[in-house]
Amino acid sequence: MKYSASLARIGWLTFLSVTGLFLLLPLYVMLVTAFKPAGEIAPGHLLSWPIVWSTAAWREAWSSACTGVDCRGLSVGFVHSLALVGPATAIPVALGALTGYLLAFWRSIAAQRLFTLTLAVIFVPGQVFIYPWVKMVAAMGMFGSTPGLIFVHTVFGLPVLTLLFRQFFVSLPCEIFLASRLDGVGFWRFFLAVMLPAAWPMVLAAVVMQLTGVWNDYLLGLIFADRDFLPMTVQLNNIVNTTTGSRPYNVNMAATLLTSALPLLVYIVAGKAFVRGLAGRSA
Amino acid sequence: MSYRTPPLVSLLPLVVVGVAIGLGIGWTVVLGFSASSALPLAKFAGLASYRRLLGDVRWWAALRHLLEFAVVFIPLTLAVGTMMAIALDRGIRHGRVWQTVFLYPYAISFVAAGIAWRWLLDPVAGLQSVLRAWGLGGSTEGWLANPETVLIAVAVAMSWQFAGFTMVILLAAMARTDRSLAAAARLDGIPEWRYYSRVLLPQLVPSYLAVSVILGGTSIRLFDAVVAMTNGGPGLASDVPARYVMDYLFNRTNLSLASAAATFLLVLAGFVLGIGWVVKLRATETAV
Repeated sequence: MKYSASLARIGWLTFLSVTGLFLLLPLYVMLVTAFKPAGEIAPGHLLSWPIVWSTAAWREAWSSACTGVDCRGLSVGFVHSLALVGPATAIPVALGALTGYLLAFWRSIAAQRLFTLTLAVIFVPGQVFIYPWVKMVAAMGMFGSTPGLIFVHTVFGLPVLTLLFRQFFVSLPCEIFLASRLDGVGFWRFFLAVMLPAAWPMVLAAVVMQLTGVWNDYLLGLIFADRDFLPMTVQLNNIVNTTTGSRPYNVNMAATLLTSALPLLVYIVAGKAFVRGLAGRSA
Repeated sequence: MSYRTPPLVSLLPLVVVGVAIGLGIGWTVVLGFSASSALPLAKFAGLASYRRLLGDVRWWAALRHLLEFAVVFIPLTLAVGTMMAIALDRGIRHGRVWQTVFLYPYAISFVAAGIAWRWLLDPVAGLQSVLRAWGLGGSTEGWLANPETVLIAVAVAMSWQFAGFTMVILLAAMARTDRSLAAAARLDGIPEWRYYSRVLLPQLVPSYLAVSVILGGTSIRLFDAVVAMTNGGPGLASDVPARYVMDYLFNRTNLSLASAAATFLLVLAGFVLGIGWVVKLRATETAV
């Protein structure tokens, strides 16, 4: 009995370790490659520790890598993404919380139908919207601009965020607000003074989810961004995949890591909120 | 705790988004029936674009690739995610650390993951060269350059990203089940594998359904990773429907064809969602 129990434990530990190694492998390879000078990148040496630790690749990726004719590196895209991510997170989360609250407490068939519709819309492939939205955003005079991109991110993100908040509000016990309801508190007051504070963990989860979603987005940025204000992910692909001739792998890996730095940081710092957002999505 | 009529202003975001989405879908569907090519033309053309779509070898190849991808990606992700969830559910020291390691791939973009895996799978200096240096394996043709294996490679890369996501969903669902059953099973001397396969996992069917539908949706949408890893290559061996749509929208500009293809994908996604719905209904019926 005890023998098979520890055998099982060893088995599971082995599985966890092998899987963990497999998951960490790309990260390890990226780091190790990014710190190597170009000469050390040779066949058979993918996994080796750098003999000479060089930060040249990082510096080049950050300040002199070329996207087409612009050779100012990823630092440009970093600033763009940073400027984009603030409004493109705050606005959808705020509106998502409001709409989720709305759908959770609106006593009508319309609310039920709307919620089911919201759920269905989440599964529509983005490609279906591209052309019409290009036309719509252009008609609003916002195509190829950062406000236009923020608008598109808001429209795209609202269904999922509404789902998150609606499920959360529905799961709250009634006792929390019966007292305030008796006081005759209005719709807005109630939302801002009672529901939002109660939903704080969910707000955090939504912010984390939307932030990483916007930062990591490629499709919307590719199409709707201001050509002079490209987000980092789009710039990364341009730098890495549009070079002809020899590929500077150390620079490419440094570039990829730089682009992933912020979402990884958010993930490590706010891991619990991240998980809550994911788990809430499937509810 | 409810309202009969919310203030109209609060409905505004919902209405705006609803209109944008509804218009978007409707416009695309209508465009698929029009005679537009590079420029939109408000001329009805019936099923011309659909006939062209269904007669296009490239489209059928793209659909086949989607299937080949999904057939590896979905089961692999579910299997590994399940094992991860069980491993952590059993209880282990530093479970939080393991979870962080398993989930971090989901935090980075598909483009970043695609680039990383592309380097790993580089035929000259990637993993294959390490295997060769160790005396194992001898093929110099990259897995990404071989049409037979390229989709499997992309599927493995995507599984790498989504296994942790699956694990999280399943762990959350496991936490919602009756935990006393585990203790009871142990007392009764039921082996652990039987507890998991006969008692716990069956309770997670709704979650498996939800995750499968999400993974199915991800497969249909597959674009970023293909662009970053293979750009459809070699040749068109890893071309996928989403890439087909984008190609005809922006490169070869045939709006009607692209819209017809997008509508096809929409119907496909609806199909997947519908299957999930039906299975969910049947499952909850038999549970009662």
